[in-house]
Amino acid sequence: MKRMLSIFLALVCVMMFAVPTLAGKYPAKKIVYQIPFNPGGQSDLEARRQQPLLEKLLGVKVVIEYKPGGGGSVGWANLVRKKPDGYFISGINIPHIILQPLARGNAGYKTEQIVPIAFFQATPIGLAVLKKSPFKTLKDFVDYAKKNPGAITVGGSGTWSGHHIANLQFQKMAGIKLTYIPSKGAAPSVASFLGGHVQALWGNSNDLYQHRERIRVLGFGTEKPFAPMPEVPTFKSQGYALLASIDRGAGAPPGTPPEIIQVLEKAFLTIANDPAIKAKMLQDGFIPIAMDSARSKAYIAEKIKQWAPVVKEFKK
Amino acid sequence: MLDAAISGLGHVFEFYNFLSLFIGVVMGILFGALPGLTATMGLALLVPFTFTMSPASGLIMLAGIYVGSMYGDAIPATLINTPGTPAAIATTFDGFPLAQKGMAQHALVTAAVASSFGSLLANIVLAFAAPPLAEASLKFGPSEYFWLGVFGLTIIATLSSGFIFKGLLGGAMGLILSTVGMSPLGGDVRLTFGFPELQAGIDLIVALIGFFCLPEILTSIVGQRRRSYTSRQVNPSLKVIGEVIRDLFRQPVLMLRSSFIGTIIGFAPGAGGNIASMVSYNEAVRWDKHPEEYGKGTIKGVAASEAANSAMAPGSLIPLLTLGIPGSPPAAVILGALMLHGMRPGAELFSAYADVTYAFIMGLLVAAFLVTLIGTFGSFVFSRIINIPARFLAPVVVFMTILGSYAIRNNVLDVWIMLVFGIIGLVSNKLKFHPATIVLGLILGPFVEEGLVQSILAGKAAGSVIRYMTLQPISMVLIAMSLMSALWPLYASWREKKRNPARGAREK
Amino acid sequence: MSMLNADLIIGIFAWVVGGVVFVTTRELSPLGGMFVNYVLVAIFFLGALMLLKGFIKPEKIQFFESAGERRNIIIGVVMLVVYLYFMPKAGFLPTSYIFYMAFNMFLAEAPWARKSILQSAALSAVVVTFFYMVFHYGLGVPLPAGAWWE
Repeated sequence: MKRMLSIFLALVCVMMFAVPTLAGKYPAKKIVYQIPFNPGGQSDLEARRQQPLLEKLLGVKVVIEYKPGGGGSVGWANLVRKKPDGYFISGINIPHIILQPLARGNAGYKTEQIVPIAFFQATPIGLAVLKKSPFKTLKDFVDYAKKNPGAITVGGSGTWSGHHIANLQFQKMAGIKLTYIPSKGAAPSVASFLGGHVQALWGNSNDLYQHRERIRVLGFGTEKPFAPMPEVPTFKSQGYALLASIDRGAGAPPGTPPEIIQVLEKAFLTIANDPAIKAKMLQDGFIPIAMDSARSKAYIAEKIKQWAPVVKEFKK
Repeated sequence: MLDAAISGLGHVFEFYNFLSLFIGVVMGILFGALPGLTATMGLALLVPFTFTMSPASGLIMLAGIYVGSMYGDAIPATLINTPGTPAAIATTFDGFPLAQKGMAQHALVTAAVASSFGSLLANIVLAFAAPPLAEASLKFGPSEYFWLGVFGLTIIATLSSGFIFKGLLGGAMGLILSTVGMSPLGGDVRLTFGFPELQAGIDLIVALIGFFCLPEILTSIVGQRRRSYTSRQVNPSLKVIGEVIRDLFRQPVLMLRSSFIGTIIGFAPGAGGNIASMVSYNEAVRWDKHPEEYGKGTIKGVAASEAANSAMAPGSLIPLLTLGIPGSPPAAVILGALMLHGMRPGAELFSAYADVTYAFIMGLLVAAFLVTLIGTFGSFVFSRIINIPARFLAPVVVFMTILGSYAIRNNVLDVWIMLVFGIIGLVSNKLKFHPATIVLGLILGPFVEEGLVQSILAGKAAGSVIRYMTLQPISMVLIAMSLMSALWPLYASWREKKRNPARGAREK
Repeated sequence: MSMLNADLIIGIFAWVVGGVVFVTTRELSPLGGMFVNYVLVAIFFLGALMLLKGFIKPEKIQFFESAGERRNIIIGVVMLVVYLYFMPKAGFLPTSYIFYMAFNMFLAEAPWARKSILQSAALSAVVVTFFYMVFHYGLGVPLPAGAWWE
């Protein structure tokens, strides 16, 4: 009896795992879409928006799992240890996946290990002051900072975040020194800025857009003017080649076969090019993008080249 | 504005919306009651469902969850000495002793009534004074947060019975624990001992389950083989409900003070409600004519804690609805839900979307009444849980602690941390070292650290750190309050000695 | 059972924790290390006070009330450790069924009596299955499936 049972169990096990591989068709079972942040955050909201569409395009269930902590690093450390069979993917964010391994000794993963599938959303970073601030333009700001090194306090979210690296790059380009005051996250830094506890803020476009009545944005780190606020000039148009944004995308574990990546890439890009989704993103203060896997890889490589020396210089 | 409020109320009482609210409150109570499930998780799980609902019914349901969970956390706090959410820590101080005396129903009814009262009061404030209060909340900057944290730490003076330095040491240990993981300000990784998962830091709920729940079970039920959680069985009756309500209304000052403390701490963005209940409890002990009753099972202690933590919920929505700044993690999820429905927090929420906004606020209000209703009648069921023989109840509780500490971040390492803390809690209980001080340090650590580091940076930029940290109106008030709070026990024992020289210093 | 000097134990523990933290946090950046250092000062100072009190006016406590208590607690903790060790390897469901049943039997007056075994097995099946359903299907919590079977 016992033997029969164990043989039966073994058979069931074998069948459960063998069927998908035998069929050879991907995807054949549910896909886990990991969000390395808390439920309810922007990455989660974006994933929730995609989930029903992904299910329709891929024809299998897509479940969202959360693995928050360490600014995303716990989730990404989990991702790179997963089996590369395409049934486990994760939301990924630039600059997080680049700066964490660069700045921390051991983040639990390496940037190169994550295979990008696609990037679908950009959040440009801008520099803002309150409406009542004496700095009317970026020039005023830079001039004052040149005369009074370290006197201007600028808020932002965390150290080795997109805001911090933008601050470091901007200081270097403009030849100024600012006092960067990190906060635990974007929300507290905005609160501290609105209360006048810092004089300027490195902020995400959606936050800046939300508080547009109270603040003046001096510049956005974009190529073209930020569509929802076209009156704001870019840093580039004011003479600083600063491109700063937080990009959301999806990634797979190292070694995931290209055929599988292709399937996922197509699904994500179809959603990213959906006009309704695009309109929603713009309305919330984000820029919809549709960057495929190959371009994403090149983009990450370029960013590493840009940031590695900045991190090195600041760390010593 | 009154029109908007009334029409909002009308929305709440539409059949479908009322049903959503009711379901929300029940779910909220469950999420609050199960350690490891939080209001934040409950809200986040339901946000996708509200996609398909109209904005009003969706938000009304979320309101129900938020309010319900602020009461639900009192149930495990009372019955098994485990706060369902960090906001209910102070509820255990008197709730559990009450349950031990066979008065679990008293504690649960108190929690329900006090919760509703606190949330009612805070809602009135939210409905009528949100914009000016939100502006005031922005005045909280780095140095204010630092001093608020220090003020919170002075509660140790009340928490530590006996040698005060022991309590302070516990607080310092908690502060060190709070630094584990990624440092948000320095960007470096601290005290992870090679575990990448530890970058996430130590979750408060995991620590709570470990320090509060496990030691109790390990000592009394596993170790000493007590047959029941309580020395006396609880016998729920309708009479208790009337009794408790009457007793609570004889304490108007306590109820009002606790609710105001909760509202105020709630609206300071980021401070979170976790310390609201402790601050309120501390003040209740301080101003009571019979401070010796606290900690031994008095409904006053439960009321102080629960009124404050429920008032905190609407309080934290003040900066959210008016400025778009979430004052607590659940509020952050509500922000996401608002955005999904295309509603941007700020002035237009109270003008263009006034209809939906007031439906939401009124939903919070009506949810408070539902909590009283469900809480008082539910107390018959809930309180009987501890009549189950310990040998059947304990395995369920232990299993839930493991599942709960795992589910909070889907991480097995968290369960190990819970277990280690459980053992530390067991040892420290035996050494007469109350782990509540450690937890207090763990809660306040991030505020104190962020406030301190930012103050030093900003102070240097402004010319003088000391001046930056002290010469600001709110900071000065907080410094004065901290000093008063820290020195109060000395004063109290001196007063006691003078009045009653034979008895000497009061024990607690 | 012998009496223990609680203050001395607490003081030593504080110094050990402080020492470990001190050694492992010397490489931190100024912003990340500042607060740790302040707290460390407090820990060493307060720990020293506890040691002092331990020598002058110690608080004596009896750790376990009886040898039975000590045995029971140690067995309980060992069961938890074993359960947690195997959970990620063998999977949540199988380990939980076994742990729950064992723990329930452990708390019974006569663990190996037929009644206790049957009762524990039944409770384990019901409770574990119920919570698994709620958490796995209702709440979408990814419970460990077991590395051995993957």
